[in-house]
Amino acid sequence: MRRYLLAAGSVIALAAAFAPCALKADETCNSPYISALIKGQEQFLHVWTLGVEGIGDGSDKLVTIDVDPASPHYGKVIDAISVGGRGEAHHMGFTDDRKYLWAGRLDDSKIFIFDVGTDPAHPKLVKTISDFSETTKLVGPHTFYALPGRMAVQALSNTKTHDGVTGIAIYANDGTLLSVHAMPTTDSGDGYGYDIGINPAKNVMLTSSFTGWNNYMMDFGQLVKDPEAMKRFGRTMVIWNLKSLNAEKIFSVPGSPLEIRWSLVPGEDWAITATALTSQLWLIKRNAAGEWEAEDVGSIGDPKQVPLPVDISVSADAKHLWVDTFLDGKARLFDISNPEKPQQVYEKVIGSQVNMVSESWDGKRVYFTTSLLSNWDKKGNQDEQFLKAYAWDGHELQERFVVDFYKEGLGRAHHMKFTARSGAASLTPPIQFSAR
Amino acid sequence: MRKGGLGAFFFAALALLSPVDAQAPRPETGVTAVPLGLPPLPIPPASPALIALGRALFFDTRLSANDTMSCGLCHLPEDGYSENQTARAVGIYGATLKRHPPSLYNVVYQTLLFWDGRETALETQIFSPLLAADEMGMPSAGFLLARIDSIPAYHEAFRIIFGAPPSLDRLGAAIAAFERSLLCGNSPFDRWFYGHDPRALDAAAIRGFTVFTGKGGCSACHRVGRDDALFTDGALHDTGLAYAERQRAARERPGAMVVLGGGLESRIDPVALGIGVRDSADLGRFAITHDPRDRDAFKTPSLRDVAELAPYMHDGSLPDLAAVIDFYDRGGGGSPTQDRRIFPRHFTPGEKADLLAFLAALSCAPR
Ligand code: HEC
Ligand code: HEC
Repeated sequence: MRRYLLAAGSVIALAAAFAPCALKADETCNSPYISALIKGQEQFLHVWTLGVEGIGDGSDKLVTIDVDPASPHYGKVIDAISVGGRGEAHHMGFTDDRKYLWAGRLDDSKIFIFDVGTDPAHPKLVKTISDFSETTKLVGPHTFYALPGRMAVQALSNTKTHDGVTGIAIYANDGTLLSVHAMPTTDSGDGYGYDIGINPAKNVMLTSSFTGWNNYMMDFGQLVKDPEAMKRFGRTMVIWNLKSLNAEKIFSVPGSPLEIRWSLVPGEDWAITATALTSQLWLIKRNAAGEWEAEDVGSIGDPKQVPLPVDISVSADAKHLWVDTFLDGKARLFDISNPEKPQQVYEKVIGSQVNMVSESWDGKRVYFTTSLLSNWDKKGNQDEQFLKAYAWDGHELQERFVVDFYKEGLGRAHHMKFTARSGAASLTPPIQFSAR
Repeated sequence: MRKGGLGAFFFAALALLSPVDAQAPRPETGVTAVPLGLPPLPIPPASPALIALGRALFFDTRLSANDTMSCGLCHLPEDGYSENQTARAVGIYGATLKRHPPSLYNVVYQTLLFWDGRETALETQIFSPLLAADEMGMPSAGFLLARIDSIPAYHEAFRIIFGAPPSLDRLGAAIAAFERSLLCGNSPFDRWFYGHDPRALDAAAIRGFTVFTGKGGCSACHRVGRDDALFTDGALHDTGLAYAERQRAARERPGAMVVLGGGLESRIDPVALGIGVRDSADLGRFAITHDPRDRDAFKTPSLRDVAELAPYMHDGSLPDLAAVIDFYDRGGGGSPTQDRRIFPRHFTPGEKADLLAFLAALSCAPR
């Protein structure tokens, strides 16, 4: 699986050369290499949506919603591009220039590249990568993480066994495959993958671990009854040397650590993650000796009740963390001003199920969607599918609008990304990139 | 000369075809001499070319509706051509199948196929998974054949081997040829029992064989012959397993204990959480014949390479061989209709350990 079509070192050396020293960004979870952030009002929200048989054309689509309160179409679906078929639409990521949005499917491993730079109100599908599995031997392109001129694609599984042993593929922005890197299976590495988070200032890439095709495609009710399958969840996080792409340290983090969020505050070199099955927050930080270490810093709800934390979103000042728990449909807010001791300060039921959370850079607007995986979502009348937009005033989430994805004939609402028209006042390039 | 050239092209094409580097660790593919402990082949071995074509097809995800599934993803070479990751197989679009994939080793000797014996030939068996909406999902036989013929290397290979394009018969012949080449014998047990090598088996396994054929009564169904052993009678029996599983499911609702990792375990009730659908009962052979005497009857699996085949039984409900031995020790599932050869064994702990050692000695020989 490991092969280097291009010296990995040079890919990342390039990356490091352009590294913004410390400012990493989401609104607030984008790659630090994204050239421009929306620090004011986002204008459009793109939702990567799973097709559902019998709903509309039954196909996966990129749905665009106008989220600008000043627009006459505020809160309305203004565009939907059907990509054909159902392939387990999941996550998306911008290229470094923020002109293109890569969107992946975990079942048939197709990657769709949309032009969102030309007219973000109406994205255009410009390229489909259909040979991801054939060329990389990986399955389930999950995280799309921008590097300078490149896209790192973290997969979840492999073509040989459909289990969780997997790797990272590096593509050029034009969709050319450059190299493939296996997740470590030696030194207690489980070989599993999920998310990527880069701290360029420290030349560090951090990865987490989920599960393979057999499990993420399996009916969730069946899965929890299958002890053999339940053994096959990720239990590690890996610190990589970003330049050499060598795995340097493997942490034991049981219960499947998922989304990785680095603190966006310059000089604060820590990242936080949540474990899906064991409902813990884990802090990855440097200890007094300068060594990276992973520490369990507290529970999310009652782990015995298996709330299933799925997505997290860190505020730009790294003081707060939104945590969505899928099974109880709650959004929880943690005060992480001391990241060693997160305290839950707020919670609200968003719906019968909730998966993704995205907040604006200023933290004043928070958006939620519902779908986790097509065969993990709740069934029957508990299978609500929506986008809900809230205003956050520091105390209370106030609903602004709801788009019912079933009523609108769309499908299951999953990953969200913001855009704004180029030249919009809200689009702010990170300072460090002005040196370029 | 011309033929040789074409043949070389053909093999190069086949090498390209195989989308997975499915390097089987121990299958004895393409052999003509039968490994020690197996009966003579009931059908003469196919040509290496036909086996190679079948092998390529077996591991090719392009034989599924969305290029995600192959035979080899449910029957994995590294898992004894069964699958170790899940109790029940996961099919196309993540569909949950009713059953665990049986090993395909020594399938050449099987006269009834599937756990309920509903199929009788490998040539026709393939169309069940290929066309099933929950396995490989091909919309029709014609579409499947056209898809295969549209792939240049297959287009070429079928014409070289058969002098004709892919057809149902020819596709069946190719995949069946590969499956029939999956022979597993020459195990430590075979070398001891049929090869008369006293050092091939350790004392515990030898005692285990005595339990297996004696007090355990296992060989009544998992047959061992004078000259060879398939460890199956090829027949269907009610061991009470399906009955016991239904009882357990009823008793255990709501929920089951789930190991979540990091020492955390919790009771989860999928139905209460909104993520569960209730299972329909698997009545085995009865669903095929509707004869009440066939209720809960499943085919006796071969025990060759059995240590590699966890989880066990038609539904993958028993996690390891110790659990299988305990199941028989208890007298099976306790169904009122179960086979009378399944009754409480009252094994001593030593006998259980010996049985385990014996079962472990049935592993295919490393090459
Ligand atoms: C989605 C998983 C899956 C796929 C794909 C699959 N199988 Fe199977 N296979 C199974 C399961 C489960 C069974 C048992 C089914 C039953 O008994 O009803 C089985 C049974 C069999 C058997 C019967 C073996 C015996 O001893 O009775 C054969 C032969 C077989 N499969 C061959 C194949 C071939 C050839 C293909 C590809 C064309 C294939 N399978 C694709 C899961 C799969
Ligand atoms: C009456 C016939 C019969 C007898 C006696 C019997 N078995 Fe079985 N065995 C079966 C059948 C039928 C199955 C499949 C049952 C099912 O899946 O529901 C099976 C399954 C198994 C399996 C699981 C194999 C797999 O691949 O899943 C093992 C191991 C096994 N038997 C070992 C034994 C041992 C050891 C004994 C003696 C203690 C024994 N059997 C006695 C008929 C029998």
